[in-house]
Formats: sequence, structure tokens, C-alpha cells
Amino acid sequence: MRKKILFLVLILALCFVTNKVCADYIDLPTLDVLSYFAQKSGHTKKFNKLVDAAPSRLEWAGFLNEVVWIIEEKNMLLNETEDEKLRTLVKYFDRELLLMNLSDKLEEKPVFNMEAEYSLNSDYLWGEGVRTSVLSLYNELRLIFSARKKSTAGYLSLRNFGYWGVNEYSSGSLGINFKTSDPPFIEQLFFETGEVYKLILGRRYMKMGTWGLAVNWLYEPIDIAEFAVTSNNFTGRVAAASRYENIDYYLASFGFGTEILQTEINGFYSAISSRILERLVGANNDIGGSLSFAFSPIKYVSFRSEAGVYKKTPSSLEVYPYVYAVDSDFRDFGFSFLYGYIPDIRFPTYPSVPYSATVNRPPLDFIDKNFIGTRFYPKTRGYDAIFRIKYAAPVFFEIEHSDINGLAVDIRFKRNTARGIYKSPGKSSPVDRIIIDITVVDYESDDIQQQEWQLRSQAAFRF
Amino acid sequence: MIKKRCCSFFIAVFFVLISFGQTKLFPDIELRTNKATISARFFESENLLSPIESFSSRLEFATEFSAVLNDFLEHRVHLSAETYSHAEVLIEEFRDELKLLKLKNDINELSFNRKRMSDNISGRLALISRGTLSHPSDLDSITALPYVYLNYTPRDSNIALRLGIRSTSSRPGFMKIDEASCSWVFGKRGRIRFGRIYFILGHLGLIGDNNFDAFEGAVLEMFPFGTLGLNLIYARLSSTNYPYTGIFQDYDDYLATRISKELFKKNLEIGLNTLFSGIASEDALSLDLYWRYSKNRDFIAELAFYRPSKTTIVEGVDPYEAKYAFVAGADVINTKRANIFLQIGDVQRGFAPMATSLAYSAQNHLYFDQDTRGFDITFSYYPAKKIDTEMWQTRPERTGLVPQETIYEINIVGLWDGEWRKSANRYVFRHIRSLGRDIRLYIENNLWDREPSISWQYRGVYNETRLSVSYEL
Repeated sequence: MRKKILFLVLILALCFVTNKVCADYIDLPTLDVLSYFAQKSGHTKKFNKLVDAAPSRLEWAGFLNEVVWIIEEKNMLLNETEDEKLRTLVKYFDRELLLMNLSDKLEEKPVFNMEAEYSLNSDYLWGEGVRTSVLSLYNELRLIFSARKKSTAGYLSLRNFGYWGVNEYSSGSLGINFKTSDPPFIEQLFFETGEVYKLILGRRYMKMGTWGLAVNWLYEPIDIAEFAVTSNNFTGRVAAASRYENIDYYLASFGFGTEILQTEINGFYSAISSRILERLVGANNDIGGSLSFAFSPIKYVSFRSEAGVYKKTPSSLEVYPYVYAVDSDFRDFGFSFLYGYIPDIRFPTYPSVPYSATVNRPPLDFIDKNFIGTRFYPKTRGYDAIFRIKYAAPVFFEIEHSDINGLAVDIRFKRNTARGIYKSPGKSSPVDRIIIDITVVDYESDDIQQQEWQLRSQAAFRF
Repeated sequence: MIKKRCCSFFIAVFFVLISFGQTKLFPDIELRTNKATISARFFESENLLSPIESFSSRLEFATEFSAVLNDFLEHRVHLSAETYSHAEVLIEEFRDELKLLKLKNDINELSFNRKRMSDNISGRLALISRGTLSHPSDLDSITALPYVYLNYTPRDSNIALRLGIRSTSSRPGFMKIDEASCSWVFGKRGRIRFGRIYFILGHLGLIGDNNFDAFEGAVLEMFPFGTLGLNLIYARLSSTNYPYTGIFQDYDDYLATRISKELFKKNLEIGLNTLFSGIASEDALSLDLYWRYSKNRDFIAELAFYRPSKTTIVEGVDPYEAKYAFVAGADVINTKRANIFLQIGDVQRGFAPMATSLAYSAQNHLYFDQDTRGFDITFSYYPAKKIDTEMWQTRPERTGLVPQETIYEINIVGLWDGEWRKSANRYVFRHIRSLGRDIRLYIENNLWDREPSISWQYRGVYNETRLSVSYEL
């Protein structure tokens, strides 16, 4: 019966669309544009084969679908012209893509995906206050498995990382809890079902709000059950999660938005039992929320802000953190300016304890401008500015400057970073990205004045 | 009368038709409804389908009809309302056959995908069972050690990923990552590997062989000038970090090189191996030689000098005095079915690099150990077909490869450390055979007379069996 429906729908659709599109094959300018995106997504060989085979429009549409999927999956950056070209291309094949969509829905084929990511990282720190400098090397392995059938999907990510030469936990490796020989641990494991009404269960990374000033689990995953309702202009999310015991963390978020203006209000409430509170240092029944806005009045410029309220315990006084940002994104360069005021809150910092007077050092996985937890710190305020040159894409250059001051005590960080990024434009090569980052941190307080230099690099491969 | 004539007429027509043999009166396939027959005739009249009589089965008809439908879909043939309604009738009529065809296509697609995956992935899934039988017998034990090795080499790529996860005898129930490395092949014979890796310096590895555990580091292998080879090995042995950070303040690195030269069409190779820095400050130097002295007979030798660490003083060992080791081996007999390989060795007391192929008891390859000298003779028999095995290829824990051919091997080792002792002798039996298309069996049985030591309080015959069943992907 299903087959019958499939054929009927396809033939019906054919009858409908053939009135408008009569050409059997695609025209040469379209072929050129398709060739460009095939190259970008690493599908040149397949493209050439298709050219030789001179297939139907539907097959070309299937190929375009693959290409677009890769571009979305790999978060490839497209400039304005490319974006326009891709939109035109998708529009050109809209009838075929509609047919494929109908076909996919009726076929109910599960899609399985497996990926492995391997990266080698280095870190070298020197300068005043650093006793001895040694190049530290570590590797990271991620194995990703996912399956999707219609609107139901499952995702599993296994991760292993470890510093070279840290063979036992106690051999001078205080605070490093993983060895390269440790078995991979479950980083993310979740299931989701539904489209408009979506249920997500499991361990995963998530945030609420623009940066997650109040709710941010981008640095460590959380075990969470979430129910979400999504429409064109509205998103509602309610969730319950486990931080220390069964269910001790409740969250909600409501967002409204158009292309120009988006706003979201969210909040959380902790309900940790007194038994845990007595036993665990740092565990508090905190409560908080935030309100965020994003406004894009013109094409290349957007404004973002997030302001929150936070209480460490139900009887504590409220504090009001906030972050403002201006972003501009032109074809050949981009600019971001963030200003933050972060009082003593449970701030989503990368989970490591800073050794020296300078700031914590997250891996290069967190260099994107949306990771505020690696740029601001509790009990500080200041700004962070990033200038990005995209002229030589897929090689990008970034300059970043931070100026952060202590709120209660007289401390001051000045951080300058120069960064080179190669981001593979497609799947043609297993080399996914190469990043080189050099950072200079000036630290000043009443007692100390010092400067540290840090050179970091990352080479990541995807298979 | 008229009835009779009519009958005669029809019979005559029938026979005429049969005699011509050109046209079938009734099709071979049966259609369930008249509507379906009409629709089939319609498609025939439109030259979209062959005449229904030309099909020998419903499935054959459905195959052609399915192709027509796909053609509609792919080439956007404009369908009239009449064509559409007839197609609908035939879809209903041949619903089951179309489903069957769909299933067939799915299976073909699945086979194709599986083949594509198997082109990219290779490796081994294995279960090693290690059992001991000893005197006294209350110390008998059996441990099962599963391991999985996967190599992933994307098509048209010079970069490959290798991942090995295994359980070790020290922690049988714990699967640890053994190898996790990425390699890049460049030039004619160049390769760089980094991550958790295994390596061997030269053919015998007296001063560089980490078979006991993978190191975190990088290995560069290249032939920059024709037959002149260069190997560079770097590994991080230990690190000390600033507490709670990934910033390091102390380290112990491993650095070794090999320069080699191939001569006489690769029948002769000489190599100079240097260990600049082993654990702490140990260093070493060795010369090795590989010579294929007849059509299928090899000679291998290595002479090595080693100085222990100056920071870890061992009583009675001068850290500045070089200790030597010499091992040489050759194929004495190599026939179509059998091979005898004889090795001799002389290892001075104190010659104990951290990463070495010496000391089999420490999971290494050679039975020779420091302060011993003696022989190691291996008799191999190939009942079916002789293969040209490389060093240690018949020991799968080293190479990760088990030969497909059936092999029987007897290995006798006799060592002298000032006196000949029974406990220094080893009697080893190995057997390799294929259990199925991709399933291999490996058995190694070790027998010796064990003497009391600090970790072993008993005296008696000790037997250890290793059994490995592996599935090659």
C-alpha cells in the first residue's frame, strides 16, 4: 500500500510540476554553479561522473541535496555571492527537491552516519612567573554515531583525550583525569523525536539564551529531558535535568523572533536536597534567569544582548550580569565587540582551575565568539574585541583583544591574541582544521605585574 | 448446421494461428482484472510497454513497467490524465511485484554500501585466551583478552586512522586504548604517524622496540635520497604539569633515529640506529645488517652498545660504561615446505634499554635477556603452501596479522648465564590455521621449568598456552 501511495504521490507531483518545467536536463550556467559547490563540498569526482553520465534533473537534484547537506553539516562559511548562488540553485531544483522530500517521507529509510575525529594539540607557555616551560602535547579522539528515521533520531558521541606522557594519574599529573589509554567515555547520548513538538532525552551539550548567561552547558554535557515546541516565530522549551542527584534542576525558555529581531527569556531553578548540599562544596540551590535580544537592522550588522538575574541561594541578594555585543560580518572581514559585566555567579567557564595569575586556558575547540565562558570570568567586567579577515578563505586570520578588570579587587588582565585558522571547505580531505594561536597576557594587580606568552596549535582530522 | 460451421471456422482460424506461430492468442501471464488488461494494452499502444504476450512472467512485466515509471519520474514526461489513470490501475495490479523489485533494489544498494565500507575499513577483531597450567596446579588460570583493531583509510586519501582497543593481562576486564594514531603517506615511500604508536628500530630492535606498550609520539619514515632511508622516532615518556592545568613544567622524552642504506636491489641493507634519549638519560647505538644471501634465505644481525641512565644508578652497574649486545639469525634451511631459522645471541649484564626487543617474559620478542648467551632455533612446517614470512609474522601479537596458511612451528631456546640451567630453556609450539574465510586460529604453547623468584615462590614445570581466534575485516 505504501508503495502505491509513493508512486501515486510522485506521479501526481509530476503531473503538477511538468506544466512549469519542461527541460529534461539542466542548463550550462546552472551546471557551472553546481560544479563550484561540488568542489567546495569535496564532491568533484562524483560531479565529473555525473557530467559523463548526463543524468536526469532528479539525479542532479539528489546530488545538490548531498552538497547542501555537507555545507550545513560542516558549518561552512559562505560569502554573500555564494549564498545567493546556492539559494538560486536550490530554487532552480525546487520541484525535484519537493519530489525527493515526498519520496523520503514515504520511504521511511533510516539514515545512519558514522564519523571519527582525531586531533593533535600543542600548548607552550613562557614568560614572567612561569617556572619552567615545556611543550605539552595531547591528542583527542571522537567517535560519532547517529541514526535518523523520519523525525526520530539518536546520537552517540564517544570521546577520549589525554596528554602525552601522562601515563598514570599520580605521576605528577595532578588535576588531569584522563590518559590517552583510557577507554572512550560517553560524551553525548541522546534521542529526539518530533518536529513541531520535540522531545529530547539524554546527555548533551545545550544552552538557553544568546550566550547562555544563566543556562550554559556548552563546556560539559548535562543529563536532561527536554520538551520543545517550535513554530516559525515561537520557541518554547521546558526541561528537567540531573546535576548531582535524580532530578534537581528545572529549566524553561520562551523565544519569539523574526529575521530582524529575536528575543528569548529563560530561567532555571535548582532543587538540590539538603543531604547533597551538606556533602558537596560548591553545590547551591541557586536560581536565575536571563533575557536576551538579537537585532539585525541591516544586512551586515547585528546587535546582541543578554542580561540576567542570579541568586546563589534563595536567601542571597540578587546580582545582575549582562553582556552586550555588536557584530559585523562583511564579505572579506568581520568584527565583534563584546562588553560583559559578570558578578559572582555560577558562570559557564571552561572547567579547569587556573594555575597562575592569568586566566584559564580552554582548548582551541572554544575559540568561536559565541563561547563567552572562555572570554569573561566571574567577578570581572570588561570587553573583548575580535577582528576576522576572511579574504584568504578557507584560511582566516583573527586578532582578538580583551581588557578585563576585577570588580572587588584591583586586578587587570590585558590579553592579545593572533590566530590563524584553516577550515577545510569540504570533505575532500581528511584534514578538517588547523589552528595556530598565539596569546600574550598582561596581568596587573597591587602586588604582581607579569606577562605570559602562550603558543597553541591544533590539527584535526575527520574520517 | 450454422453452429457446426462456426465451430469449424474458429477451429480453422485457431490452427492457422498456431501454424503461423507469430501471435499468441492468450498471454502467458494472467492479469487479475480486465481493467488491468486494458491499461496494459493502452501502454502498449502508446509504445511505452512491450506487448503483454511477450512477457513470460508477471515479474518481468512489472520490471519493465517499473522502468517506465522511473523514466516518467526522471525525465519529467508529461502525463495525460488517461495515462495517469492507466498507470494507477497497473500500479494496483502489480503492487506485490513492484514491492519485490523495490526489495531487490534495496538489497543491491545495501551490498554496494557494504562493499564501499569494506573498501575503507580493515582490521581485526580477536579474542586471545591465555591459560596457564603449572605445578603446583592451584595456580592455574585462564584469562580472556578481547581486542579490536580498526584501520580506516578513506578512498583517494593519503591520511589514515588506526584505532586499537584491547584488554591487557594486567587488567583483564578493562578495555584500554592501545593504538590511536593518524598516519600520512607522502612521496614514494614516506610516512609519518603520530598518536599512540608502536615502532621498531631496525630489523631486530635491540635498542628500540616498544612492543610491551604503545607510546605517545610520532614516527617519521622516509627515503629522501633514493635508497638512503631515514627514520625519526619521538615519544613523550612522562610529563609533569602545573596542578589542575594542561601546562607542563617537566618531561622525559624519547628520541631515536635510524639511517639505512639499501644495496644490491634491496638484497642488502645496513643501518645505523641511535638512541639519543631513552628513559631518564639512557642512550645507545647499534649497527644492523639485513642480507638476503640466496634466493629465499635471510641473514639478520645487530650489534648494539648501551649506556644506562646516569640519574638512576643501579648497584654494580657503571652508567658511563657501555654494555653490548649481539644477536644474529639466519635461515639455515628454507625449502618449499619447511624452514629452519637459527639465532644466536650474547647480551652483557646491564644491557637493558627500556624499549627493546629483548626479554620475552616482558612481552618482547627475543628470548635473549641481559647477562645471557645462547641459541634460539625455530623449525617451521607448512603442510599446504610455504609463504615468505617476515620477522615475527607468525607471532600475531606483534604484527597484528595472522598468516592465512597453516603453519606448525617448534621453537627451542637454550640460554647460558654462567651455567646451563633447565629453567633457562624454553620449548615452544605454535600452530596457525584458518578456521573459515576470514577467521584465523593461533595457538602458542610455552613450556619451561620455572625457578623460584621474588614474584614466584614455587618450583616446577610451568606451561602457558595462548590461544587467539581472530576475524579479519
